[in-house]
Amino acid sequence: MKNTLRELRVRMAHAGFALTFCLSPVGAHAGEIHALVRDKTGKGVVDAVVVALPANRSAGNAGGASATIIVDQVNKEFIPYVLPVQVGTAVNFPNKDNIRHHVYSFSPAKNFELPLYMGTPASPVLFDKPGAVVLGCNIHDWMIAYVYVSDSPYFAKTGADGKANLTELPPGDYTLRAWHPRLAGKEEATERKVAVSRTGAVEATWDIGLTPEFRIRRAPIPGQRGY
Amino acid sequence: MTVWKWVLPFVWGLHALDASAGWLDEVGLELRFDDNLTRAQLDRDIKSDTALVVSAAAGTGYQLTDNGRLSLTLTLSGSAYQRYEGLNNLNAGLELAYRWKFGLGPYVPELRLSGSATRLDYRDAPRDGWLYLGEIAIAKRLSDRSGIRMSYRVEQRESDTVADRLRPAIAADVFDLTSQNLSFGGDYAIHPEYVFSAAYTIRDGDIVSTTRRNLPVFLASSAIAADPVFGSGRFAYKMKAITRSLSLGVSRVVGGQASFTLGYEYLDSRAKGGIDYEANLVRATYLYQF
Ligand SMILES: [Cu+2]
Repeated sequence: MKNTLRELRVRMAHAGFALTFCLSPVGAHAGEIHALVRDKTGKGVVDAVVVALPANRSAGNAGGASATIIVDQVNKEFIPYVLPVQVGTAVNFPNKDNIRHHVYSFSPAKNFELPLYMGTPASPVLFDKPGAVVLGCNIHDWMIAYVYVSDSPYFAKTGADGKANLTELPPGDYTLRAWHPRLAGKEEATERKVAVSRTGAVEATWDIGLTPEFRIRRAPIPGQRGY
Repeated sequence: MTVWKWVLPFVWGLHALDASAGWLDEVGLELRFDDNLTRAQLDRDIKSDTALVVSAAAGTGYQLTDNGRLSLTLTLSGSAYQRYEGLNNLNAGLELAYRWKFGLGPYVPELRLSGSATRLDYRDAPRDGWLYLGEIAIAKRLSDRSGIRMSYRVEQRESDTVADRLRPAIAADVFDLTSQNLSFGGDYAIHPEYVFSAAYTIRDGDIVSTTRRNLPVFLASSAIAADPVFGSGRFAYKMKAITRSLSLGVSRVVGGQASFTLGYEYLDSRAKGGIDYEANLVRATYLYQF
């Protein structure tokens, strides 16, 4: 009996976060936003980022990224294609390939360069300004990915069904936005105001216009090998 | 068709390499139709044929600096013709290339210098030899939809043996050829999955035209040898010509790393003495890049 109790205490200590979470079920003290991003044909849009900006900015301190966040390079591609992070997050760019990559960005939100490297760079890149950051590789021109830097801790990325859930939201007024790498028009144009209460979930749906996806292609063109 | 004796093992070999090696760059399969394989002027001499071409490129690259890359590539290709089996060939080449990117990002210009030596092994032994290429090319991507490039290339082909002279005073080295090629090209994505490409090339150098005995061709030629590949009583004539070619293609992405391309090429060669020929080539190409 004693042993069982100790074991339980150890397990509780290990599972501290999950336990706290279970004791305060979602809905009792926090609201949710169920977002759906669709294209003009009504199909769910994957890799869209939905952000909730609290009207009361002091509510925007929750979360914070302490865990190591990474953008991998695997088989000459970035993974994931879209990574949403909060302002102040450091991101690592480990290279899992056995060839060197040269990661860079010209974006105003973060202009940086990780010259030719293999393995994991010594220090991560700090994303300290909000905005979309386009990543490229100078060796493989087709490699592209986006880090979306949010100035709110409340954001989520849509899955293949176009759905994303924002949870643990303190009750209050929020401005919602949807962003996508191929969003036609400005992100601000997607803004809408919602009130999140302690209980229940707010549904938010966007039908966004997408520009055609003209990416530099990896697939070869006959007679152009070596370019 | 005995040609499959070596085409099939070759394809199998590629398959095996695919599974084990990370150094394989590209494999390809092409069906090519040429409506004037003989590069002949008169209808009676014009022969057309279709070839199946299997190719592979493997190699290593050395990123010497942030902008400079040296690569050594081994290329292998095999062609099997439907009718003119004497043209069946197996080629193996080694290319050394240096690519320089003028800065950071996909839109900076690139310079590429390359040299290669390729062993040519034909069913028809007189065509065996070596092909040497030297090229300087510049390319620039204009947007995520379009790019342009320009290249200058010198080619030299040297055959292992020279056929017996038909007349003591007439050279017979019909497959020893040199040429200079200037090419301009571009591509444009007409759809996220389809790229249209076009290239215009001017070639100044030796061509080989295979015909029956032909006085005007004889007068324009610098070497003559019997060419039984296209039948008895056929002769290969080497002559200097200006060849202009326009090639057009539409290439579709297949699963990210591969493409299927339909291409058309028009060739127009003009030699002195009013000797000229036209040829039309149609290609269906599958390429997979690792
Ligand atoms: Cu790369």
